[in-house]
Amino acid sequence: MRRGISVILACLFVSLLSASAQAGSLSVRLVRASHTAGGSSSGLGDVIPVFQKSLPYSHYSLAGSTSMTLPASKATRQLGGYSVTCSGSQNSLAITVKHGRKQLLNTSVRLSRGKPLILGGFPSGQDKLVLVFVAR
Amino acid sequence: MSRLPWRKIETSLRTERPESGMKPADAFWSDFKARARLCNQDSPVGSVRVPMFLRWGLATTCAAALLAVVVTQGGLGSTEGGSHIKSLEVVASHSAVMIIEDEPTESTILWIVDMSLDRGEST
Repeated sequence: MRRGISVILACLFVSLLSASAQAGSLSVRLVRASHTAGGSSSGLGDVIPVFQKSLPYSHYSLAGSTSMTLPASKATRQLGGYSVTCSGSQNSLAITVKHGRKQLLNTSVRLSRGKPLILGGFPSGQDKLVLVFVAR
Repeated sequence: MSRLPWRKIETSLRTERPESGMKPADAFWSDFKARARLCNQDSPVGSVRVPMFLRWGLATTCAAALLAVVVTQGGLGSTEGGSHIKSLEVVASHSAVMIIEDEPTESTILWIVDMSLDRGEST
């Protein structure tokens, strides 16, 4: 009898563990990359070193941010004229980026907690816009 | 006072010796078990009897949860790596796509070169 109860408790523990592994949140930030100074780079401390190492721009500023829960079910957020729609879990997240009603790209990604995924090159005048996805 | 000879003392002690009453171990335990069966035993305090249907229900739920983990996480033993891109379709017109992986931070940059907001061919 005691062994049976132990097995049931172990199964419940595994179930809770799996549920917590799937749940989480996704932060999405819109960053303006430019050659001219302007805006604040606060809130970008985790990605500025990556930008400076890999991208040919000298200034980066936060143009907007939002978040959503994971797993997502066609969750759409508006950021600076772009809309970002996410579906799926952290391990298989489908992302669609639109500008107005124009679809720009579809991608499927795997996100690791705290490891940024950066989608960039969206035009905005002389500057470029960058989307930064980080799973928490 | 008369003095008894030792032989008589020894004989009288032998006859008046009480029986030891010690039983062999097998006889003792079989007798004990027989007596124990005669009276009702109270169940231990705090014991819970889980119905069979509840046990099977929980077991099925747990199996389903484990299966979900295996399917969605790519196995229980999957290790955390960096974020990465599985598939990509660029609908907007562009000239090139660059994927840069930064090892120290385990981050990935997808950069679309010369993207135009006018609709174009997909990659």
